[in-house]
Amino acid sequence: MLRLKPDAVTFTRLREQIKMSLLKLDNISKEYERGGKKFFAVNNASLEINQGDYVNITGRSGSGKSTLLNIAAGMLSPSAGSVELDGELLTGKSDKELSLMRNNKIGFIPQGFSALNYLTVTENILLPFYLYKNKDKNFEDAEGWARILLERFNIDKLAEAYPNELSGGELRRVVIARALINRPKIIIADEPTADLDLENINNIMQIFKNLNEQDGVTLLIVSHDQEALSCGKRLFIMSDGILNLKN
Amino acid sequence: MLNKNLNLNLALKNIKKRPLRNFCIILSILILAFLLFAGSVLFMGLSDGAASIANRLGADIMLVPSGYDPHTGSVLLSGKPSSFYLPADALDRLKKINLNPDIDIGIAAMSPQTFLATINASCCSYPVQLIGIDYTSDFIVKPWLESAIHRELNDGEIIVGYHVAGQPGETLKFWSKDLLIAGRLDQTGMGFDAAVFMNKNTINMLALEAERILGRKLSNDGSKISVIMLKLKPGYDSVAASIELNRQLNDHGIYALFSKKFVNNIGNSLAFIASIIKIILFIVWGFAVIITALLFTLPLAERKGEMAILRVLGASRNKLTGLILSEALLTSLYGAILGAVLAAAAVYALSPLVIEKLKMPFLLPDIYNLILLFIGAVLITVLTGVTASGYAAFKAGRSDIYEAARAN
Repeated sequence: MLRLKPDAVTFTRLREQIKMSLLKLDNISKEYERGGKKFFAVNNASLEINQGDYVNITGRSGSGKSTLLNIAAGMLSPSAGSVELDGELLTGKSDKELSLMRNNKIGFIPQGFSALNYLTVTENILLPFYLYKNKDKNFEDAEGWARILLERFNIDKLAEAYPNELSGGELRRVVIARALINRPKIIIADEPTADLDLENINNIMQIFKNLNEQDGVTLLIVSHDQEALSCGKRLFIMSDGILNLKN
Repeated sequence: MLNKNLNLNLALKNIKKRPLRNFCIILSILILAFLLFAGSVLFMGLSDGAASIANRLGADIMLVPSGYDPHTGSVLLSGKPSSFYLPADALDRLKKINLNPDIDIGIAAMSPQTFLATINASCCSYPVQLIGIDYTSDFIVKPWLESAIHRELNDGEIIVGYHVAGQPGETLKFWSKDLLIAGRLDQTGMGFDAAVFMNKNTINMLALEAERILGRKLSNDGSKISVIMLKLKPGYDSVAASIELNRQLNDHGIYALFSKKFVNNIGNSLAFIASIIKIILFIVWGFAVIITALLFTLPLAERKGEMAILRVLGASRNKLTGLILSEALLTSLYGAILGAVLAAAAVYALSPLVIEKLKMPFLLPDIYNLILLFIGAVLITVLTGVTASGYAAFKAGRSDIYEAARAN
């Protein structure tokens, strides 16, 4: 039996696969009209994020960061350009397909303290898992994974508490745990440290850093905080809808 | 903990967390279900009662003492014990009219009945209407009396109405005479339910005993006939016949009452009550729709954040619509079942009082129909609640995910 020895080309291909593009924004524009005048919230922005990447985007308020993030997550359709997530083009997909993709492949952390007040911490964390029925889903595994996340983020004692009983920092950790419950391909966070004190900002950033370095979780984060931007592998600056890589 | 039925779970938890809003929705649905079920039972009971009286009456014309036609209604409808008597020669006069070739009113059969009211005294088990029938001529009561015992009544035997206590083989005392219960009648919804039936000999014996105890004659001329039931030959008009009979007999203290008028009066009252029930139901239904629609739609602005979170986590538009509809389904189901159960309890507890106040024949629907009405009331009410929330559900599903997320 003939056995091929891996040569240099094979290694390069393997490396390429490992570094495979996970999220690709290609010439994205989003046009709005305000006071009868048209303007670009996002202007011809391109961004490619590979598996294991940790990308930060910063910029002034109203510069178009959140708009770009929502387009990347398939929650907003661009006026021009294309979005590709995990090898699939988002353009032309139905709401149901986009929703399922968001549920399976994206762990989105929205602005603010975004938890459902009528659910406990554990229920909030498990919510994305329960959104879709699937015979392959193992409910006991998900509950076990939720317990691990609770312990890992040091909120296990709050498992049965309700969001309005939590501090801002605790609630953010709950939201991060919720974003991880479906083991997504990428975590997209919109201002995850906003309205937090320095200690909590550092806690949250340490969590992101560990997720990326230890677990290989891909991260795309939009933030104002300089402390938050100290972590990460690449930093982009958004200004008037234009995205530029900071050297 | 959440489980696989996420929509119902979220709806359930949401309902618990918003008690005041959901209390208002449940209350409006409850009132609708209550009125729908109670109103349907009342209407069906009255319809069946009217049908029953039309069937049981069986006579085309009733001859009653002049001025006593309202009393006849009391006996037939509410079973209020009454004693009144036609002139002693009423039957002979009628026979003469029937034999007169110049008066062709088409009498096919005639049968006298004797009414005797008992009193609440040691002589009687309790006040009740005693009705004596003439087995030789009867064409109305005999068939359904015989269906109870499958034979003719002997002297000293009685058949008791549905509401009269006592089982076959036991005895009841009326006017100091012990009478053997030979059978019991099914419910009729009429005064017959509170009556005791016996043959002519037995009632005559009781009448004599009553006269002895009371120390006076029951009627001035010794008559023992209260009403005469007439059946006409096919093709003869009961209205024309009763007019002719009144012309012939009115000055002798006899009044001819055509049964249709009696049944028509009940029908008119029934139609009036039905329209009242319909109007009330329509108003309550309208209120329930408006309240439910408003209470689901108004908080949508406040719930934008919640909708945004669910959308961000991957809930499709249809899932959000489903969530609102699930909430509406649960609140409506709570309200509908609670309302229908309360209505069932109210019907059970209050129907005797309502029947008495309405002075109309009432036949409580059987258990099969009651279950059907219960299910129908619950279904209609739930459908109303879910439909009323439709706009809110549609709006929740159409909410712009990006705008909603920004509003959070």
